Amino acid sequence: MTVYPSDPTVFQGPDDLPPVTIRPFEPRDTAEALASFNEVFADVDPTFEPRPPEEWAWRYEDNPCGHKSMVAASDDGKIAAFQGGIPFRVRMGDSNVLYGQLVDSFCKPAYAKGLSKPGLFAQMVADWSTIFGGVGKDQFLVMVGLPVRSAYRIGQKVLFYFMVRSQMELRARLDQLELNETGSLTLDEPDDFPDDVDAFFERVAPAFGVIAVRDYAFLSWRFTRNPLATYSIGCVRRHGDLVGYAVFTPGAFDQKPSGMVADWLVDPSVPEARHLLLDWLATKTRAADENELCFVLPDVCPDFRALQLAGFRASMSSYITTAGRRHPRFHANHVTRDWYYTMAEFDLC
Amino acid sequence: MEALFGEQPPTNGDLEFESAGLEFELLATEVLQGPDGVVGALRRVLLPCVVQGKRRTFARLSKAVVSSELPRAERLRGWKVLIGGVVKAENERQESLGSFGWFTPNEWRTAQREFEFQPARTETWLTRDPKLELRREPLDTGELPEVEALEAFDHQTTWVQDRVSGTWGASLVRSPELLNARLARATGEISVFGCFDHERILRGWIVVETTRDSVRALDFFVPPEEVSVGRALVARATSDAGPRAFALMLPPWSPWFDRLQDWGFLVQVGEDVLAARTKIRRHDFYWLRDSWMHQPLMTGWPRA
Repeated sequence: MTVYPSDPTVFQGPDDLPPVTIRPFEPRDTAEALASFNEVFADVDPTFEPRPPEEWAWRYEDNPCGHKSMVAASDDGKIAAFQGGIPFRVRMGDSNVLYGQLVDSFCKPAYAKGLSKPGLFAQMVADWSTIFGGVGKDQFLVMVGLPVRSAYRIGQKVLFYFMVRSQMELRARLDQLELNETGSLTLDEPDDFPDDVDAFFERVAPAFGVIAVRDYAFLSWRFTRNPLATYSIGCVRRHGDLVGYAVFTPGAFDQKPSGMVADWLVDPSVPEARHLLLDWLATKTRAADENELCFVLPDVCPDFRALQLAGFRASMSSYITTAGRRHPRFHANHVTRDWYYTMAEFDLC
Repeated sequence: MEALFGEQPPTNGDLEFESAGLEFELLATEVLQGPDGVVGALRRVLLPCVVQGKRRTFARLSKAVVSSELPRAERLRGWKVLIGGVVKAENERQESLGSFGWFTPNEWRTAQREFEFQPARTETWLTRDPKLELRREPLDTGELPEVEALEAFDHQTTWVQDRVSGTWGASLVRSPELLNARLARATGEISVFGCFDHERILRGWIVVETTRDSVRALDFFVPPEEVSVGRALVARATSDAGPRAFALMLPPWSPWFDRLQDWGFLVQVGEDVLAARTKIRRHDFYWLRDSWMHQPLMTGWPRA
């Protein structure tokens, strides 16, 4: 159980702005938090489209793991700053722990003007980390992300961020793909994840070291019910058994449009399943009028090499993958060497 | 001992290689003295480099140890004394860019906590396995410039250095003296190949180290626009490697990184992370990641 501090931080705003209390998000904050979010981002991004309530609800209320978010609110309920925390369960050995991503961070410019050190935003992130980070059952063991530079610097100071890797991407033009025969494997394209996806995950998870629990609850929330984009699901079977799946969406990574592989999990003992899925992904990419297919994976996973053999080229993205650990016994190797991830864990596609 | 920069103690050969071609004053060992003798030490190798056209020095921390038998508080104090020596030395040299090194994940905590090192990038290797049959451009087109074995580097080295270093943000200086001294101290089987134009002007070179199972490039030094020169040198090195795998370290922003993939090389990431502390604010770790060209011949690191 999360223990909240009995005396939350009260931050005195600059000039004549009212003081704000930094505390965990409560359902009554939803409308004001969303309104402030839309106001702040519209001011800094001319292309910003206001986020509709259903998207906010999907992200924060429908997540099967809930959310761990903080607000800085004045007595009249106005939100001056917000820090969203999206958890996901991760299988490490025989047990599950919580990893999480910090999202939708904002601080109203009026509150960022003061000379207070730390400023409101840094104080809120530090309080977030104290309350929600840790080894408790519902606390984040590790925060991960693909932060922009300014966020990385704050993360280093208050969240103990360290670099997991310079994030590479794998891209292939469709005419570069080198695909092999796939024998008796079959592929179907269901509207939702199949019932046996939980059993499939349990079967293959030990081969992946540290991996987000890709069960039906997570996958259907992340993709099927996601109001932000439309995803296609490809499932490969051998004699009726699920041996791999991929999730496709047209999109962009690092400002380069392409067919995006939003998620990818293939039984390592059935390598030919990769080729059937790649063939399907190429078809989807062509149908989306794109000419390239893009993966984001850790460069230490076996698929990184296998995809290069299938014609993909590696290149450096502008992102660095980071992690901030919340426990001294948590070893960096768990994320640098053992953690398998795709775009499913991040909110970029 | 609580150690950084490699879990194996350095051999005499390592230390000789590190110091080859450098003036004595560019090597420094800080020793941490306890009541019963030495309880820690740190070794720095000052390397000449070019940063955006200016000569500077960049210190490689090649070894740092503090006795793990000391009580925790003493151990932490020991690290602080050692890093204090590094900071003092950096500040004494106006031209110093700072310090760098390579770390394994096991070394991270001490490196970040005690030395305030920032990771810049994971180092990437391009590897070619002749047993793989990939549908890529053939490396040897049959119309490449001639490549010949070199006995030693001469004054033309500096000409190539001047042409190449301008295209990078920062790199270590390759003088013929430094390169020859390093080749003389290298412990493996070393070959050097150069490519000359019809006026016998050196256009680029590759230094390779051959072991029983593999061949790796220690230095690949070709102006990025000289595609046929680079191609000829890589073709020669891979041809000489025969059935052995061949590996060449390059940062992903190098134009050669993409070209080698087109020629059938696969990208593989090494375990070591390049990290640094720099004195100059605009030369932070993002800048270092995207600007610093390094090849193993200059330090013996990182490992493939």
